[in-house]
Amino acid sequence: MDFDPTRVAFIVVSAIAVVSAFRVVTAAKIMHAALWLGLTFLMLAGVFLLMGAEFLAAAQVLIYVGAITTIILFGIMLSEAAEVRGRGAAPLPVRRDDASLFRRIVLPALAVLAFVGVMVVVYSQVSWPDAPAGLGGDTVRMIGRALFTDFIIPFELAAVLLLIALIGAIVIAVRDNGRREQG
Amino acid sequence: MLSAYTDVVIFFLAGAGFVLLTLAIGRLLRPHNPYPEKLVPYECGEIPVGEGQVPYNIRYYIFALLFVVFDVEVVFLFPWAVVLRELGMYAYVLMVIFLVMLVDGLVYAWRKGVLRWV
Repeated sequence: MDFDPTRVAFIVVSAIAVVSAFRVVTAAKIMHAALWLGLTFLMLAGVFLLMGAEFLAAAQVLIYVGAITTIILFGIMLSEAAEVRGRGAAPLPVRRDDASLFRRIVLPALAVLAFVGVMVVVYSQVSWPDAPAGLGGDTVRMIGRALFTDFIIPFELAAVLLLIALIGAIVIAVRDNGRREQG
Repeated sequence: MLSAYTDVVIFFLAGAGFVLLTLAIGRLLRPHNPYPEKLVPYECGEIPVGEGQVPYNIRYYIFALLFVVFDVEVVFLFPWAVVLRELGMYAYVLMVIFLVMLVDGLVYAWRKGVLRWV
């Protein structure tokens, strides 16, 4: 195999993504798990970028790394439950009986085998379409052109949807309206 | 196209390398002598009371929500900025409509006093 920088970068980025995804599950403190999740999202953005999906990579960084991770961190920080925050809570005792062996080793192994089997079947059955010509060019420009010509109504409806979400969040989050308006 | 991202990779590696190198040098140079008083969180000489991890004020949450909404908006600004020169005034007006609709939400939050810290 020739030395292909794109392939090397893909392997590095996806390896980091897999390792940090594993750390999300195994990290002892949930705050650390959330930060590992952010790293996983960032590396996925790198995978998108290597596939030539620049807009998807930008959206991934902005929405997943920026917004979703922030919301998760806020959810942890606002939480009062000691077991969520890992404050003074003893780690759950690990039981070494047959049931836990089944749950911790056999079931995950079965799930992994089933997933690998499905993916192998999918890869062998599906006929992959060739990459359309012109892709790998300026995809952001193509998306922008489509967004402001054919899809302009959905685009403006997205603003309405965001507005509804914003107002809904404010209505739900702010309960003590009467008291606040005096101050 | 991807070669344009070589710069990004170099920046990324240089940034990560700088942090790691600095921490490594610090670890090599600094004396290592921990004792209980030194390991206590520093609060201007006071002995800390209670836990450091207190639940944060719920009022921060609304700022996170506002941030998420305007974060999604920025995603739409990306392709707009790329095609603006080509589509001209038409795209500009459409984006202004888009933004005004979202700024409505911000004005609503403002009028509701959500942004005020009381």
